[in-house]
Amino acid sequence: MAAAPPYALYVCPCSSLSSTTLAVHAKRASAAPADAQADEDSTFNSHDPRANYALYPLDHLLFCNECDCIRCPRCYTEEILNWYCPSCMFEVPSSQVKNDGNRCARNCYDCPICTSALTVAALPRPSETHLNPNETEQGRYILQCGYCEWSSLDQTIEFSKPTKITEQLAKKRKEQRRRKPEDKAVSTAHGADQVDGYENLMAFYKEQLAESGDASNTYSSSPYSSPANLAKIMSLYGGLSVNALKKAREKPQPMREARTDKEGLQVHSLDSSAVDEETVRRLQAVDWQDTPTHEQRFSGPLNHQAIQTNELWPVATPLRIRKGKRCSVCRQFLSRPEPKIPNLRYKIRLLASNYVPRLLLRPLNASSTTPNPAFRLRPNEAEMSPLQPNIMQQYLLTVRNPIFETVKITLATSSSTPGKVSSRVTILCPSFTVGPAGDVWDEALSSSTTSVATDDGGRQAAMASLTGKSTDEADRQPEAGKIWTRSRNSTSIILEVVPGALKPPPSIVPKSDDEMLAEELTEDKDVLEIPIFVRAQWDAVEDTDASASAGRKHERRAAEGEKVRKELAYWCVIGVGHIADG
Amino acid sequence: MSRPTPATRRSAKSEYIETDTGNKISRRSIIEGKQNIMLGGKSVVMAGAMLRGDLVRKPEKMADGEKEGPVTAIHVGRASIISTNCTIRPPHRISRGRMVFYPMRIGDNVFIGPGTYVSSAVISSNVHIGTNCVLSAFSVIRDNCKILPNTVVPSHMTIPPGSVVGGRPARITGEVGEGWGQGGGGEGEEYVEGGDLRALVRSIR
Amino acid sequence: MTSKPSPAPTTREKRTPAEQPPVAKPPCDIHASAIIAEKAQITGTHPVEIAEDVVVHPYAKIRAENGSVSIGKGSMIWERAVVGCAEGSYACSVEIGMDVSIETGAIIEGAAIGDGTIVDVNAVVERGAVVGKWCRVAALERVKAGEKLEDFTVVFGDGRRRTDETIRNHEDVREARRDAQVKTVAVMRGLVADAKGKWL
Repeated sequence: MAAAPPYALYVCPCSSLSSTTLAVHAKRASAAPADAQADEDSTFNSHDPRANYALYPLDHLLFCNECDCIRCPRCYTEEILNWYCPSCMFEVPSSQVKNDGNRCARNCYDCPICTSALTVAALPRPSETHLNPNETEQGRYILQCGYCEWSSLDQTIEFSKPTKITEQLAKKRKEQRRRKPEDKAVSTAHGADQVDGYENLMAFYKEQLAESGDASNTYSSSPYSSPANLAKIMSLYGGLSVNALKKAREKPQPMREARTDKEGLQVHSLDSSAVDEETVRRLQAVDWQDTPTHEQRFSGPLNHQAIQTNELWPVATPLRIRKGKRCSVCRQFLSRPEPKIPNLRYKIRLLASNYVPRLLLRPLNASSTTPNPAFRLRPNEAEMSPLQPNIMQQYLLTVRNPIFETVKITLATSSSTPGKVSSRVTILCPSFTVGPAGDVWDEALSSSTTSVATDDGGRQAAMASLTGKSTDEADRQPEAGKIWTRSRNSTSIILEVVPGALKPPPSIVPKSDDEMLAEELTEDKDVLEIPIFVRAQWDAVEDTDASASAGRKHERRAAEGEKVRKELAYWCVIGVGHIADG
Repeated sequence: MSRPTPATRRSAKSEYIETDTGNKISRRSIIEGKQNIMLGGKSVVMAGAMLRGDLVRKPEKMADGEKEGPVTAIHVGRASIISTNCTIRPPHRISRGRMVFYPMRIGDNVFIGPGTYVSSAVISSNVHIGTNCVLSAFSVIRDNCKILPNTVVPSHMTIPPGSVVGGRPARITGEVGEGWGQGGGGEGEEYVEGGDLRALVRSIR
Repeated sequence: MTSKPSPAPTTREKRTPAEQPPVAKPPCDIHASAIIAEKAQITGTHPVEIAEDVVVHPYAKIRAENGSVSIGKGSMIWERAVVGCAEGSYACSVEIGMDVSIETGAIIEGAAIGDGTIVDVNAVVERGAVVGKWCRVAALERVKAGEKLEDFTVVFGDGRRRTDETIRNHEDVREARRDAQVKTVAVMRGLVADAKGKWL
């Protein structure tokens, strides 16, 4: 994720990069402390090349409330709920999808050159009809790209009406094939006819199947029509076995294979020198920039064999899908969007952000609060200044609790960050509690008024976030083991970071080339990322979700206060910023 | 309309003029044809943003051009933010032999980054548009989309809901997560992309 | 929630002081049928020639500080576009052909833009570049200084180039584009108030 720092990415415990999987399972089988110890020893390396596949922003993660686990794209399964065309937003029934080649069969086409959507444009009609707008039916229309100016005129395609483009296009293609027989040899050898050939084969074998089907079904009106019935009768009366009979019946009606060009048969000739020469001759005539790129050629089956860009056909818009996501362990739906295509709403959505404590890092003494770098309002708004190496910085790490229980948080990080540039990190208060999230309404109300104050800590925090420092906080010093601020459902602590230097101090010993190469920084290696292991523990009333539906028994148990200790442990990688060079 | 107001009179006061419905309009924004622009409430037009409300469809049969009812050229929903140096211009095309301007509709909680040009037909709600994008004429951005910075959305492109788009020309590069627009509201994280932007609107002053 | 507009106009307006023409107005030759919006800006000392049916939108800038600027018949300069250059010391005159569209925020410092060309939103034609006829410089693209674009060239997709065969081989497509431009100019007559008097 190329998010601008500061950001927080979460590691799904299913990832093999960290051994936390064990810990998560361990909590069910009454925790093995050895495993837990192992977690904290092996730090998640966010600069590992494979780390990208395990790091997710919290809004991409789901949570299975049955398994009490974070679910990421590697541990949920997706299933297609519906297909739709992204251009006309029409849903395509699943039965039709395959037939249409996963593409929109309506009027949606993409530009073969630049992939943007093509529009149907009217060409000016001859002047005598020009002033008569009623004669729109017999006009001249083309498909046109509004971005790169490609149009179907490049393929000499014009349409007589602005609708049913797919039909008209298919007709034009047939016409064009007929018109240019000299191209045929070349294109056949290169399989440009594959599509047509496939269609012919389809038609032929469909016919064959129908014929052979009819032949075997001569008794369709009799009780012998169904094979099961026939088999029963045959076994009753003895004689030939069913299989023998089948064979006997098939013999007189063998299904014929395609024999001619018209039936879709394409003979591959080994001696293709004439064709090759023709191809080479044509290739010689075109510039490099007039040859299609791979992407252009694979944009659609008709373009697979294009030699020049001007042979490219408009591409029917590929369909997109709406997916439902299931937990791969318990198979329950984690996310299920509503089937209405033009809007994105969810029937089911178990977001990790509603279960997993959220981490937020801010500079402690920032004069301005720019919580989200995505919301840059002015072009000259300063980007975050790079971090100066070897100078200690203090940050405020806020942990926000989304659940309705008080959560005990334990944070752990290695004293120096992994990766080529190692920075020193100290968490001043690694263990603390975070209050429960209130009612949704509380949150909504408190966020709609400026005073967030539910208790004193909240007000202080609000003040701190507004002014950067309040009066008595001006000379307040961070202390080890002390919480900085606390509000209703979030607690802030201090994190001290000493960014490492990008380049090691110059040494007198000359280095070998390999060493120099190894020292060269790869992309994003100058980003200071702190992996923090978060362990959240809370006492939950067992099956709070199920109790509502499961009835009184559970409720009574809840009333009795039967509590279960729950735990969630995961790595979180916090991007602090870029380290300044030098 | 053409009479320039003396700038010095109230410039000592805040940069934004707040309307009855809570819209904030920068004194340094450029608004043409204000009678044709609707802001839904709690929306922000920042400095240097230009809204071409004067480019509207005139009624077919215009008697004298004076007594026409107000036509909406640009409709902006609630808690949407048009940041600095944006240009918002209704799209136009030929219809029945005439060049016609079409109204533009922008939904709720739409964030338009600085320097972006918008000529879309429709932008639905909870859309986050990065800096320096170009949203060409008649593009349609459905809800919960994210448009990466420096994207050129070609004309007439429809972006389905929940897409992340980027590039020149724009292509769908991914999908927003299920948690898009969720999870804001905490201290220090009052608003998130695609979420409720009222907190951000409040913070702009 | 319906977002009803309040009865009073929801937007109140307060403009930055309209750019007053500088003391030294450039010598302007503006055709009577051209539309120069009130808030368009023409600066510099070199001659500025604006042909018939040209539309210069509000906040478009024509800068004749370093050289003359001429805009051909039926061309349109959209809001925030800049034609000509103010900085630098060497001569830089710009000649824009007929039926040209200079879109929002485009910067034209190039020597010449051919007839029927479209320079799209926020595109840049750098100094001394010559853009041929019926070209299109897509949004955010850049034509480098001194570069020469052949007629019918399309600059798109982060610097890619191609020849627009459609418009090269089809007079009727060119006609359609010209027609659209004429109609756009026509509609502007009813929408953009003319204030060319200021510059004459």
